[in-house]
Amino acid sequence: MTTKADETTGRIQEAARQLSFEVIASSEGWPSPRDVRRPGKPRPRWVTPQLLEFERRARLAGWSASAAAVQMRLVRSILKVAARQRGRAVDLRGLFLDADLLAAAACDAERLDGRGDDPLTNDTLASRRIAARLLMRLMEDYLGAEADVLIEKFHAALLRRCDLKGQTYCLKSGRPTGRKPDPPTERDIEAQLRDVSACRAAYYAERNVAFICLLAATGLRLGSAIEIDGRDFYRLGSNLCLAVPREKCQREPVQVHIPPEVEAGLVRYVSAFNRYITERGSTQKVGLGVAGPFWRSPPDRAWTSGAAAKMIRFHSARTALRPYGPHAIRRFVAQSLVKTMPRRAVAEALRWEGVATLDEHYGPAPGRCLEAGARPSTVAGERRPEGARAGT
Amino acid sequence: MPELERRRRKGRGRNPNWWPDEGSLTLLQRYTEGRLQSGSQPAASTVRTECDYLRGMVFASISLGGPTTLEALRDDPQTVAKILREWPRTQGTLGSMLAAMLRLIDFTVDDVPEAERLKEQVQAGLYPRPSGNRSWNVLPRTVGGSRRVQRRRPVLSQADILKIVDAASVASPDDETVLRDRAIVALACWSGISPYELPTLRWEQLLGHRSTAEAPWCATIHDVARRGRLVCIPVVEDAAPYLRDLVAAASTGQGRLSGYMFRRSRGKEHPLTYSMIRRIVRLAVQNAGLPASDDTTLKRAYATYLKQRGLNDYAIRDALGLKTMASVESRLLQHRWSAAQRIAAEHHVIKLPGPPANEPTTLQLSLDAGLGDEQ
Repeated sequence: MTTKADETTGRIQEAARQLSFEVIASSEGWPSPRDVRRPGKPRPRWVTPQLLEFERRARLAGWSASAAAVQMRLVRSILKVAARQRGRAVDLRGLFLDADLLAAAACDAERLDGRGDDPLTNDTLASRRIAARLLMRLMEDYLGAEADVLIEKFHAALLRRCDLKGQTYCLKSGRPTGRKPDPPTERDIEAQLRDVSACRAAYYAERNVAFICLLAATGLRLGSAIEIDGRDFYRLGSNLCLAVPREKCQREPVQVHIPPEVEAGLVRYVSAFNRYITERGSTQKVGLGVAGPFWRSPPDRAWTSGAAAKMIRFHSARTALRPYGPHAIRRFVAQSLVKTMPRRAVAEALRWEGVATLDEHYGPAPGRCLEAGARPSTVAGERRPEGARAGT
Repeated sequence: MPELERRRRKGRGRNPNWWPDEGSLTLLQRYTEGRLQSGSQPAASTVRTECDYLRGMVFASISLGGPTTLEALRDDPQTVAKILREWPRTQGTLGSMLAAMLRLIDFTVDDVPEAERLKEQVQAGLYPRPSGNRSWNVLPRTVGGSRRVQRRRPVLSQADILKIVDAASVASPDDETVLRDRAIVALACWSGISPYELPTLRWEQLLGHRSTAEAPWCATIHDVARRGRLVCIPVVEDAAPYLRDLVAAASTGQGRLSGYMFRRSRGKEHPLTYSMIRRIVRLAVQNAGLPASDDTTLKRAYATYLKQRGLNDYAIRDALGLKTMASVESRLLQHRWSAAQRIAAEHHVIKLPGPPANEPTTLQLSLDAGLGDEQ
């Protein structure tokens, strides 16, 4: 006998299923770009129907497409670790009903996701824990047990392998979240710019130089810089300004001043691109104030963040001792500014609310400030002047 | 030709300017009456805005190929849900549209089970909202839309503000309108008065006084109704010449001035409308050669100007008629970031590789500079 609550639940489930199909598959109206899966990108072979269902329910519960995909990938990595520990394949239900095995797999310090040689950090444990808890909540009907009970058992098993620090679990054998390696120096950036400008194919040299200069002069994130539209540039007086359309954690576009040197580089790119595209017989143009994606590759498509990051890594590998990625340029900007400006001003220039992010993630690592050649800052209040007593 | 028909034919292009039909107007009237008589007693301006949301939904429905009248739209919950999911507006706007539509169903559908069915179907078509306390299959629903504000808000300096006030008279047709438009733009730029409040200002509210070093105000506007409270908003002394000119033009030598401060050039008894005030400010910004700036942009520039004049944050809060310090902080933040970034750009110069020797030196800035010019 079905109760009214069961009927309601069934109806909502059906509606949600239909809605999910409509959101992901329909392209009518104005679907958000996040809701539409890119055509022609097949699912990896390891995606099982259960994982697919988990991702779909995470989307229904309000997670973005990319975040839901990450959760699915994390669950898969836990499954893989568990299978290695057991020495045989483990199914999803069996893993999540066995709290000890799940905790052991989540705490395993070896990375199996092919993301480089870095050992597992506490951050990875936290994200694995979130993914496991999310799956328990969303797939309660599939697991056949109450989510709260499963989560409680999982946490108890975790405590046997980890230390509890505040509200988080820290790996006993894992490396704590550390600083990234030292950012590139000014010489590295300049050498990279020289290397990039040596390329004479099409307009790529001018584009790449302008892009790296924009990152290195303004400290923009790669994701913010790559999405620039030509209309985002405007003039205030004699200054060229850029309304960065998507800045992290900001609800509205953020204004950034473009220094004249970078403006010259941008103009050179626009000129080279338009010359190239006109010779090819196309009517497409880019420009400061002209609608359309500003960074192009190939000429009729927007440049992607993956390709831009690959370009930076490729050229840095040719010119620097230690290859670096696009975000290292932001850290380079922060550390360069810290030498000449107060920390609070640097934090504001890079659009952080306080100096904590600068101190913990972007500033010079402890013990690096008094290396040979480092002089005390002339800005009052930043560093203790020479000869001053400690504690004063 | 009847007024409605004339207005309807005025629309051009793919999406004509929609003007509500008689049935929709009747529904809107019923909505207004029901809302004003409801227990919450909202302000008339609030109800007017809600009616605008409903009209906007009909416009969206026409654009999406749905019903063309408000009544038909109300009876089509699938289209309502589609608008609320997909119409490109912010989450706040779509949420207000949803609330207005649910109230419209309450006020205008007499059959209670039918009203409940319509509301339930609208809700069922929306997105599930994540909640920590509920399972995924019984989640509450929410509208679509983005939380991000797409409009650009440039960081204006005091020099830019002066340019705007100077350019206020460019689009004014006669001398009298020049004085009025300048005073409007001066108040928008140098006081905490919002464009919503400007049309309703009366001479009786304005009280002039002498500015001092500690209090740089030339006048105060009393009894400005703002969110259920009456606030007193000062006007900084930079606006004094423009207000003085307006007072001189309006005074007839018969005692104290009374009536609306900003009146229409035709039909002198009526105040200017909100849209006209916005148009005056928008044209002033455009004629000053600056990127489009809304009221928030001007208020941010004003708050920063007061900060530069040495006022503390509490004084700025009172000058802008704000309630919380968080609002003051949000008005000052963009300017602070921009100033810091400008200094950083001066400190931090990257050596760019120069242009190759074999490349032409003429540069093309945009589409306006044709390539033929280079050859």
